[in-house]
Amino acid sequence: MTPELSRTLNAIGMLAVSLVLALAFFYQLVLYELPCPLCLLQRVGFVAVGVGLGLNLLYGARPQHYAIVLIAALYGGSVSIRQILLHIVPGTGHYGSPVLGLHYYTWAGIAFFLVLLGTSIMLLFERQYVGSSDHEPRFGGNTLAKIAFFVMLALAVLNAGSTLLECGPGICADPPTSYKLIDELDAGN
Amino acid sequence: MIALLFVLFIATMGLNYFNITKAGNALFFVTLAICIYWLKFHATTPLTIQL
Repeated sequence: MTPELSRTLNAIGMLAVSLVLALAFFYQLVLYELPCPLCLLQRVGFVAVGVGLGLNLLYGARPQHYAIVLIAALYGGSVSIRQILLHIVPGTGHYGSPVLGLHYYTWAGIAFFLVLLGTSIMLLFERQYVGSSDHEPRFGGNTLAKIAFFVMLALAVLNAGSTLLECGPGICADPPTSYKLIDELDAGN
Repeated sequence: MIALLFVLFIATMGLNYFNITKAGNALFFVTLAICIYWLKFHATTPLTIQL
């Protein structure tokens, strides 16, 4: 696998993770289903995956960057599994609407598993590391890599804003019922 | 406080973008440690496990 192909595949991976975040946002805004604290921590896990992928996009693939992706995916997967286990016993309810028969946290668990699998497969190809140096321009001139990096950055900024509105500066309500910061600002006026 | 986690990861991406990757990596792991604290907090709070 050439370094250029590796960078393109990492960019596609970054866009796929961005799509997951964008879909979660879509459901939050369209169905007004506010993400619970554990759901928000899963989103944080996806952004953390984006940090590792972003390093691959910026400076070329390195095992250290893939390690960051793996650690982030392990964290996100742990949050998903914890939430799945909270609802696995019959009669313990669920959180949010199902999408194609599965709840968000189950889809998130599958997505983190796929990140782990995809990263492990990418680590098998050693020729992608040849020629990557600190003197290479950012993104190696790859436009898709640049787009993917800034899409993830924009989604992270949007999530930070949305989470601040939902939780305020303190602890997130569990389950959330409204945008706490907006309510507090309204109450203050 | 979860908004802070997003902000810290955005800062990590910013540091990495400007090639300050050592500080970026340090911030990444500090943020991850805070993430684990909040996972422990929200996964064991009585409200969450009460359903």
